[in-house]
Amino acid sequence: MKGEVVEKSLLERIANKDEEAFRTLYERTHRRLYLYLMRLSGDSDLAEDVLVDTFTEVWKSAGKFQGKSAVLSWIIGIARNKMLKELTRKKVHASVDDYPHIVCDKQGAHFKNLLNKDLVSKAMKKLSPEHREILDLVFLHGLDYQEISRILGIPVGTVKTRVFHAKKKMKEIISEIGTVDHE
Amino acid sequence: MSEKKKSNGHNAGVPAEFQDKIPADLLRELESDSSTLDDELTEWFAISEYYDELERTAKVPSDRMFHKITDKISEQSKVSAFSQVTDRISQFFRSMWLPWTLAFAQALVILLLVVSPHGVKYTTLSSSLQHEQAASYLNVVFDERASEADIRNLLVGLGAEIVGGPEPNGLYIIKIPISKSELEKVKNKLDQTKIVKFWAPRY
Repeated sequence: MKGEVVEKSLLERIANKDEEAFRTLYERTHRRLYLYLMRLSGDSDLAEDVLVDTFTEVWKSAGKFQGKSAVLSWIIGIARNKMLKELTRKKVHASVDDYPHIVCDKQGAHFKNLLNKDLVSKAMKKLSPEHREILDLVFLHGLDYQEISRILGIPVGTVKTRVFHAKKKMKEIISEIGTVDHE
Repeated sequence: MSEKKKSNGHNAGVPAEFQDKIPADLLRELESDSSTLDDELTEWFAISEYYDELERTAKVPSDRMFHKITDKISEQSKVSAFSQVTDRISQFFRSMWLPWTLAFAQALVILLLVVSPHGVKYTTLSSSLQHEQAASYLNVVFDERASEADIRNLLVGLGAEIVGGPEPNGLYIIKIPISKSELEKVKNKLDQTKIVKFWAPRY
């Protein structure tokens, strides 16, 4: 059973107040959602609050889900809207130092052109919030461009362009960092 | 992976484990320019690896958050149940406002008719004679020779007023502010005066 089908089935059960289905959906999605919220806000408390609100909303509004988008996109959309409202209200700006980061294994597998986890991790911190978010949606949540376009409210073409520029920028940053590291 | 990709072999460099992860539209674009495939895939794997690692190593307070969620849901359902009750009550009263208003207006009118407010001089349905000064009514026939001034002096002296008459036989009805049991007090005065030919209590 594919992920989306499973999630739709879970949501239908949640609409009938099935607590087990709710727990399962939570287990399937909360980690990535929490990381996404953390990276949007740079504030773990805020990310936690918004995640709690998001899943409360999912429980309450599961019956209203119309299936026009993927379940995951719907949940991310709720979380993103709530977080943006909070950020606007609190006028909080994420600090790169607060992002969850990988404990890098210096001896870990290296990729061609010096693309290793360490460099990617460093480059991610230097990306703009817009570029970081688009990469989060593609790679962390595995959403396709159509879904991302719905969540961000921008055309699919803009999503593609933004992904392209985000990766290009990351390559530039990696190139800079790589040069410095080698020096 | 689409049939097209399988048939043309452009995706030969994409390891099976990543084939489902790469969006179909990106794969199609890669197919159209196979020279960039290698670089793109390398970059793609590196970023994917970063996110996988991020998800694996990040500390997420899963249980605490889930408890908060369940607490919040049960709290909201309590509030919701309470607000449903209050909504029903207010809805009931909203639907009954016209009959209740009319009933209240009627009750107010009845109250005003039944209860005489303090200090108000008008007479209500409930006003009783007990609140008025006691009075006696007398039938009186004055002497034909009595002047108007004599009659006035007598009546003023008694505190009386003419409330009826004269009738063809010369009978007047006068009202005196005393009770019938107190008529003895005025009896002598009425008997002794020459301007009254006849008097008797009116029953």
